[in-house]
This record gives sequence, C-alpha cells and structure tokens, in this order.
Amino acid sequence: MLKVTVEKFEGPLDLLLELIEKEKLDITEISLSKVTNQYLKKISNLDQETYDVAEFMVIAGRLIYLKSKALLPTLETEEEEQEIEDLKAKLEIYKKYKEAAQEFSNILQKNQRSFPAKKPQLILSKFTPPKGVELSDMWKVFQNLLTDMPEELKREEVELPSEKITVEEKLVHLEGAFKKKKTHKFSHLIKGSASKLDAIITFLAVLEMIKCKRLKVKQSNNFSDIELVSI
Amino acid sequence: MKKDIKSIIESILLVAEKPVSVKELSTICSSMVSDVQKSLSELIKEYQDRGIKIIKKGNFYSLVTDPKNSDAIAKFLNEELRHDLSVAALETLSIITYKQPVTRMDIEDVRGVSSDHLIRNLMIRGLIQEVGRKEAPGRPILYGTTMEFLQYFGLSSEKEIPDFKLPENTLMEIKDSDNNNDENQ
Repeated sequence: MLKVTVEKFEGPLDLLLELIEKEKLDITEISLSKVTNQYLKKISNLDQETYDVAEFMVIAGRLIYLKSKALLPTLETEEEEQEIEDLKAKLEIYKKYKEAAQEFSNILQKNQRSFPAKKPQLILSKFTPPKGVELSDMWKVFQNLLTDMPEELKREEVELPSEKITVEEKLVHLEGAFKKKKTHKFSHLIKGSASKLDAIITFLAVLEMIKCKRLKVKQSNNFSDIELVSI
Repeated sequence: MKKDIKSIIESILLVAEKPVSVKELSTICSSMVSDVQKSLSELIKEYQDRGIKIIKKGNFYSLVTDPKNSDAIAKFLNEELRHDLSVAALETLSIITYKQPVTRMDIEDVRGVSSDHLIRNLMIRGLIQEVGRKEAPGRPILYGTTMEFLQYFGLSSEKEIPDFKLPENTLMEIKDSDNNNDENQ
C-alpha cells in the first residue's frame, strides 16, 4: 500500500529542532518550553509504524518537566536540570551535523565526482594444475570427496507437549492455595509443578500476584528460601 | 643510478585495485617513506591541470579522474550522477565524517534515533567502512569514511571536506554523554 506522509522528520530531535526553528527561536529553555505543546500534539498522533514512539517519549518527559517547573519552581532537581542541559547541548550538536549534512548535499548537487581507473583485465585467471596431474586423477579426487562428504544430519523430530494450563488458571489455583494457608514457600509451589513450563507459569502467576499487591515477599538471607505471604 | 621511483609509483597507482599506502609503495620501490612522499607530492602537482588526479586519504593514494569531467565520464560509463542519499543518510554520513572513528551508539546519540539501517546502507555504498573496534565493553565496531567517499564528493583529500566545529558550550556535554555510553553498553 502506498503511504503518504505529509510531514517528515527523522526523530524527536529533528522534530524539536524543526519546531524551534519554525518559531525562529534559539535553543534555550524558554524556547523549549514554548514549543512543548506543539511537540506533544505532534507526537499524540505519531505514526507508530514509521517512528519509535519510546524515543519521542523521553524528550516529551523532559519538556513536561520544564513546563511544570514554570508552575512549581520548587520542583527543580539536579538530575532533571542536567537532563535539560543535555537536551539543549544535544540539540545544538544535532543542528550542527544537520547543517553539515546540508553542505554535503550542496556539494553533491554539483555532480562532480571522480572515478577510479577501470582496471584492465589483462591477466586471465586460468587453472594451472601441478605437473603430472591428469584429468583422471582429478576425477578420482572428486569422487573421493563426494563419498567422504558427511551425510546431512537428520534431526529427530520432537513433539512439544501442549500445556493446557494458562497463567490465568494458575492464578485461580494459587488464590485458592493462599486462601487455605496464608504463607507458602516459593520452592514448594515450584516443586509441585508437572513440567518446566508449569513451573514457569507458576512463577509468572506469582509475579502477577506480587504486582497486584496480593502477595508479600520475604527472604531472610541471600539465596535462602523465599516466603510468600498473602496480604 | 637512482631509479625513478616517481615513474614506478605512477604505474602502480594505475593498476592498483585499491588505494595504495605509502608504506606499500616504499616497500615495493625499496625506498624511504620520505622519498615516496616527496614523489607523490610532485606527482599530485604535475597532475594539477590534467584529466587525471591523485587523491589522498590519510596515508593512502588513488588515481582518479578529474571531478570536473564527471558529466562526460558518467555519459561514457552510462552511470547516473544525481545523488540519491536521503537527508537521514547524509546526516549519518556527516556525523561519521566529523566524529570518526565512531560507534553506532555515538551516531545514535547525536541523532536521537536508531540508525542501524542507515549505517548498513552507507557501508553497502562503500562510503564508510569498519575501521576497528573500540576498546570498550562489547568491543563495538568503529566506522570511518572511505576513499570512495572522497571520490563520491569529488574531493582530492580530507582537507577539502568543509570545516566543522561544534559550539563551545556543547563540548563538555559530548564528553559526558560518551562516558555514559561506555558504561551503559
């Protein structure tokens, strides 16, 4: 399918630089904060197939920090301040290379290229067997080579057992277990697994429960057994 | 009698398949590096008003046609002169040109976007090449421009590449971010 993109930029820095230059501003904190809304608007309907949205979000975060700092001056933190300085420097640097690229393009527009000499093919590559080697010898060597060739390895076909249990089902199962008994050792939960996959699913289900704040995790020492306590 | 190494060098450059280094020339001519360099400079001067030029990149030399004649040569070779490098490719090339040797991370750090396919593309075109590995975790590949790069732009040496200077206030930052990269890799 033919896709037409009206606006074309190379990435977040390119977009930001474009916005600043459209406003005829220098690269300063104030101008960054001025174009924040435009930037956010642009990336809110970003073509996800063309661009890596995450790359745009990082910059968006920094811009939003600038905005919020204007409202809450006490917000200022060293780390974020450094990030803004970095962003400004990065924009300056990127701008320079962009200008250099433009200059490259200007040079290329002149269509002045130099070509290397075409090398004469005077020396024909030809086969020179050592003295005393006959065609029949070559034939023998070739046949030996064919017989000595290792046979193609046949891989055994292994059927992967299809596991029926899903993380959701495991969750229900674990909920039940924790209802019966408040504390379980992680090693016990894993020991009851029917297969490796089952163990992995148990692990995922435990992670899920921790994330949902349904479990607390305790470990007294490094490498000691992990205790899971329902909350 | 002293042999005419200038003539030998000229002949070698004509048949060379790749750019030839001063060291290689001095070995073949069994002459001092300084003599070879002197002969090369003389040759470059002698070719000034000719249709053939000797171009130089680092310690490597190549015999090429005068860029002024590129239209005629293109016609003769049936080649298209118009360049078709995208803005992104030119950006990447400019970063490699002025920052070389650079890693992919260095390039992506400047552009703020992944540049893998652009680097590959420039490699296929012969404009850049691998020039080594960085002594850093992961030993990332270092890229630099090639002799073909100079030919493509019709330049006779790296001195003819447009000047480039980063603004003073950004120099510190570059260094810092470079260090961060090393740690993150």
